[in-house]
Amino acid sequence: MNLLTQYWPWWLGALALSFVAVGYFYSLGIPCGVSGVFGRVAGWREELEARSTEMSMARNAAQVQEQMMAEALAALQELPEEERKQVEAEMRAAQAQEAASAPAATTVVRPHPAAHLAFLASIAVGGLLAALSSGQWGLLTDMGATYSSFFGSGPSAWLILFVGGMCVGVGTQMAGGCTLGHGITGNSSLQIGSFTATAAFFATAVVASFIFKALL
Amino acid sequence: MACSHIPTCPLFKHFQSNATLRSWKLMYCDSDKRSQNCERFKRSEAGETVPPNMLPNGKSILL
Amino acid sequence: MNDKTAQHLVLKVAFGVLLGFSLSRIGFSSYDELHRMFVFADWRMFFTFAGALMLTTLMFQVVFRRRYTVSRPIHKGTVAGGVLFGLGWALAGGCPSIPLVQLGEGRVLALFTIAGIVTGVFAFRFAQRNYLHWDTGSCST
Repeated sequence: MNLLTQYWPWWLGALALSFVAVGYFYSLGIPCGVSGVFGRVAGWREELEARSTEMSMARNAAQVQEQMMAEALAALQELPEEERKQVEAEMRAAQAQEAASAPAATTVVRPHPAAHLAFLASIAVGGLLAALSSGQWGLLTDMGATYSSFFGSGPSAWLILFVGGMCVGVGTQMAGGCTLGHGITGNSSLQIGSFTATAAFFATAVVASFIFKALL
Repeated sequence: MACSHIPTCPLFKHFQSNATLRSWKLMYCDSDKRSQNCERFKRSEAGETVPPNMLPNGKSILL
Repeated sequence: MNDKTAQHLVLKVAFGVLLGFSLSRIGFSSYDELHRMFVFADWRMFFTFAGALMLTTLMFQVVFRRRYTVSRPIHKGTVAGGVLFGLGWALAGGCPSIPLVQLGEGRVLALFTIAGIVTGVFAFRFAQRNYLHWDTGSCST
């Protein structure tokens, strides 16, 4: 079996995808997903602004902590007496167990939108390397025989791709994840939202595919 | 039940540092009812972006 | 760029390349193969996905003792978004990563898909910001 020219057996693909999902989260501390990255690139202005705030917070960690503490005490004074006494009592209990001041927690600074763009580009590079190493690279102006039989090969096909892309773009932002984000990462965290989203998109894709097969 | 946004809240881990900071947690994060008052929670529920330096009572950390 | 940022970037890109490579070699970037999976003519890719999910679940839940988990409650856009995405998948090929892989493989028509995705992303963000105001489910955006 030539792993470079033939499609991978299920266990190898499973290993590879799992390695990416687990390795990414483990080494970068953020869950692996692609639709979120598209969202952050689209919202690059807001990302840059939030990043700038986070960088200031990280640089001035001690002052940030001081302000948080001062504001906490001020907010405490504004509580109704009953609640204030309760919170203060809980605070005293906690204080008894440790020193009053501890090192400030570090503010995580999000990646620059350019890093997200680099990630997207690297996925394309992966595809390039796969096609090159299997000797199958070539400039192709179709999406395979099945696709052409359904949607033709000219502007009608291009329009379907664009519309399909729009569905993916809107759908993933609306659902908050894609096959990787919900399908792998979300489901493996046993999240009900991901189970639901995955069921929804798989079921729809299956139904739509049967319809295309029957009608087109 | 504690605030459902705790896993992703960037401020929450700051609230663990000492007893004074923990009061934020006690005032806003520890129960569903309290989290309804959190400005950050309210904004995300309304689909708005939450500035990284906004405290639960709506005041901003000056930088 | 400091050391840590550089390190993160290298890791991100490495995983991205591996992801693209794997998706291509598995067949997720081939409409022919995808269609066969969706009409139950070929179970290979389905088992690939299921296997990856099982293994990842085992790793996160057991080996890493839930140290790496995400929070994904059901919210307003979960079902509708899932359905739309599924339709897009059947029409154009899948997880937003797929047209990127296809582009790398030389399938230039994937540019139309990507254009569609970008348009859709911007369109939804605009609608969300100005009309929908749906719960984002998280205080970190």
